[in-house]
Amino acid sequence: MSEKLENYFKTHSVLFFVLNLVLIFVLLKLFQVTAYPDANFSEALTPGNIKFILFGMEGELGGLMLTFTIAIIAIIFSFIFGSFLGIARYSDIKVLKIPATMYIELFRALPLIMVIFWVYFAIPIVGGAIFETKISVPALTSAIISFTLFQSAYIAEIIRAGLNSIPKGQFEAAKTLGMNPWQTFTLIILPQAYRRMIPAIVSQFVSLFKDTSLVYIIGVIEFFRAATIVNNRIYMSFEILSFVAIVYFMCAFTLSKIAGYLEKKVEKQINT
Amino acid sequence: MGYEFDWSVLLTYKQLLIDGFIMTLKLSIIGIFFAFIIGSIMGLARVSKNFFISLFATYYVEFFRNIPLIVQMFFIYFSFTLTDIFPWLETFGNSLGLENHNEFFSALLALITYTSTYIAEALRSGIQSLPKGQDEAAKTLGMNYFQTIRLIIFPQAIKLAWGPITSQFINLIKNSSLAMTIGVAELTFQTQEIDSITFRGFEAATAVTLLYLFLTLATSAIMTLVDKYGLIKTSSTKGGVR
Repeated sequence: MSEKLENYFKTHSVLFFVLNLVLIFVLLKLFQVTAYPDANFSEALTPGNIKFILFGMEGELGGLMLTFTIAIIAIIFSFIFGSFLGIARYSDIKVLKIPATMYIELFRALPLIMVIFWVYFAIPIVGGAIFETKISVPALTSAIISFTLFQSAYIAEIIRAGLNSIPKGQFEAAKTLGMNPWQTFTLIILPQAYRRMIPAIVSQFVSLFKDTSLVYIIGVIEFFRAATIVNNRIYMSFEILSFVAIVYFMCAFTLSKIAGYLEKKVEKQINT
Repeated sequence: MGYEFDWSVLLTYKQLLIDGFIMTLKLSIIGIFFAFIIGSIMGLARVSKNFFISLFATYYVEFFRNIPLIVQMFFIYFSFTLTDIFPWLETFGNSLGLENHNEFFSALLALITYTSTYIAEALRSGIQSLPKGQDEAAKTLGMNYFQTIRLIIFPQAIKLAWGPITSQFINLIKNSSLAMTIGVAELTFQTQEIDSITFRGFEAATAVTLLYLFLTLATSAIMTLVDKYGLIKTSSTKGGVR
């Protein structure tokens, strides 16, 4: 019976998708009714509250929009910085390779919260000690800096893996064509490596998107912080946090599905 | 305005650091234990031939993987009182020597649900990269479904997935630092504590960073040793996986 059903769903994927949505809604509702019968969503999620959680205060960037902004800016910076790190680790030049390896290993061993604390609290102290002045970094800037530092270590590893996956024959073929090492790298190797890395970088973006919720601790009013602000005012944590969880889920799930789709596409391109 | 380092605060407040380290260890070890078990079950369920079991596992994995850990922690902590729902947690917590049961178990539950999904995914890709012949060969030998899973599929898949699983264990240790947001006194929390008492956050953060480095390096060393000499060497993996 289950096999028949599976085949039916495979051929009717739209129906399956809709059924899934309905089922998820029913499950969530069941969970709410059993676990938290006196939840009052209409009181907690007024249009004003939702607007604040999604878009922040009037006239300034906040809420979910700020979350996306932070994530996009940080992924661009960490892509650039991570490319340098990954290439440095991939190269045979010891002066580049050893510091890059140390950087990557250090940042991959640290919790993101510690990185955020380091940037937010230690930069003013160290900077103050070096430049003999008072330095203060706005919370938003230090959030972006810490995400960049943290994520570039992971992106560097993705880039190194991408570079390693290029067959050695490519180098030799480029040499045969009379290209110098620089041309080989920029015209032959990097474009191919980047194409293979796109899915992994999209999934890294998903994890960065989820990690942005951590800037809660230094007081940037992004999605999660905005939700907790509303929660502190009306104290209906079940309703507010369910809403937050569902919105995070929808965004991250869509993005990870895009990553999966790209992965299939890239695989097809490479295999043909 | 220079900053004068004063490393003696670490000695003065070493008890805080030790307490935090032990709390992180408790969270990590219990978390890794249960995340591994649940993750294995979910990983096997995802590749199950039964459509409904695999659908359920897919729901579980996709749901808990796509919600940030801090949101899960807050949701559990602020919406429920776990120790009221499960009174036996009180005794379990007492045997661990805890003070704030509710905070600890909320953080632990969120860590387990979050990490187990990643472990399930790692195990699933391990299982799927096994050749189909393994299944069929086991069937030919007259093994039933559970024997095939227990003796043939699981040992080989776990060997293949050992690297990703190790990095998920390390992620769990690192993510346990989020427990500070709901007031569990682990390592990162103690950094803040020392910072607020002495205003010497820099020294405290350095010490805690080194402790985290030690924890993650030790974990990956242990996992490598287990992989090399230990537990999961089965007759089928001795001569290479395939």
